Amino acid sequence: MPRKSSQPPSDDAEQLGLNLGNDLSTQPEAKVEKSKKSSAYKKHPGRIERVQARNLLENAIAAQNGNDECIADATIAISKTAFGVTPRTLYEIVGGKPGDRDTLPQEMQTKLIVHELTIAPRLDAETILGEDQEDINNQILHVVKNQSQETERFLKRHNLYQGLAGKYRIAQAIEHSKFSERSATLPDTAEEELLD
Amino acid sequence: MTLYSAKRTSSPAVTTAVRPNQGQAKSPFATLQGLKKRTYRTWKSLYQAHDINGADSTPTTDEAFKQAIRQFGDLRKRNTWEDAWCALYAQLITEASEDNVRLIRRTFTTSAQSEGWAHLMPRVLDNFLENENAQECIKNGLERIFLEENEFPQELEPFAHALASSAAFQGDRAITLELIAAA
Repeated sequence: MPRKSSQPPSDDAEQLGLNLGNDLSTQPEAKVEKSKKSSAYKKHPGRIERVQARNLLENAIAAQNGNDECIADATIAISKTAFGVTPRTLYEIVGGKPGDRDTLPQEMQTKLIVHELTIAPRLDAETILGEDQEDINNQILHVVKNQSQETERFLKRHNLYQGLAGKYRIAQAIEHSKFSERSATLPDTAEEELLD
Repeated sequence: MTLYSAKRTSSPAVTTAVRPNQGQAKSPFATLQGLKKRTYRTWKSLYQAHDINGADSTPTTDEAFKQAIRQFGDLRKRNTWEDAWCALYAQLITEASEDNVRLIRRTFTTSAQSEGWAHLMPRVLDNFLENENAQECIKNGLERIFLEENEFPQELEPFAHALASSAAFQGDRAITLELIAAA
């Protein structure tokens, strides 16, 4: 390789942490601490993307003056459109840790990310002027529900992330257990998935 | 360790960058009318029965809603409505529980301050802890916060106090208080 040999060996090579073979013992100590701190992020693949998508949605709702209750409503609405149940029931059926989205199956997480990433820009484009907090929340929720259903239709049309409700037997779990009291009705999407 | 109330006035206020123009003055919890409206909204949230036009029914005309609130006591008393809202809101955040860290840091801390229900936060937490899996949620959330922070965040002090004094809390109270003292 003529190009490499033409360049004189410089100190930069050591700073980049390249293994030159002569000083293996001098590992920087700060590096160890850094990796320890971010171990929580490294444990679950795709965690950073998920958190970013979630923050995008929450910031979009907050930018339209929606409050914390509105975010909770939106969370339930998205979960109901995507899987037909509230988040709490979903975690219980799938067997994840309650309130820890890292323990959901990867494909479910990806589907939720798709929903969040489509709803956030849609909300940003809206002009929401409400009389009071309740009015604002209702309007935001209306946009969230509409876009969520639109996204769901798109995914269905292109046969993406389909059959999850059937795969994890969500409908059966609701029918034959305590979940029936909490989630009275399944929206159309999840029921249709089962028929496929 | 100083008293929490004395410490809170001296420490910088929790950031409300999201809605800086909405302070305590506009809090719906200041008036009984606002509290009733907020309770009605939360009750509707639980059943996902929002009407976009909103004017169809009010907390005073919806009989089903009034029937649901009567189990908490006399409808003329403020305490009844506070009890009702705390129970309903705890139920709502249980249903929507999605991220435990967010639950502790945003819902129970930042939002409670900025939306003006910081005084009701211990009661909401009490109601929340009575749900199954709630203890696990709080434990998981605190663990994650410690993993990311390596120390106890100052702004979580009211939450930790409420947790340690909650009758429904099954964790180790002594450890919780020690953590607060160490902060």
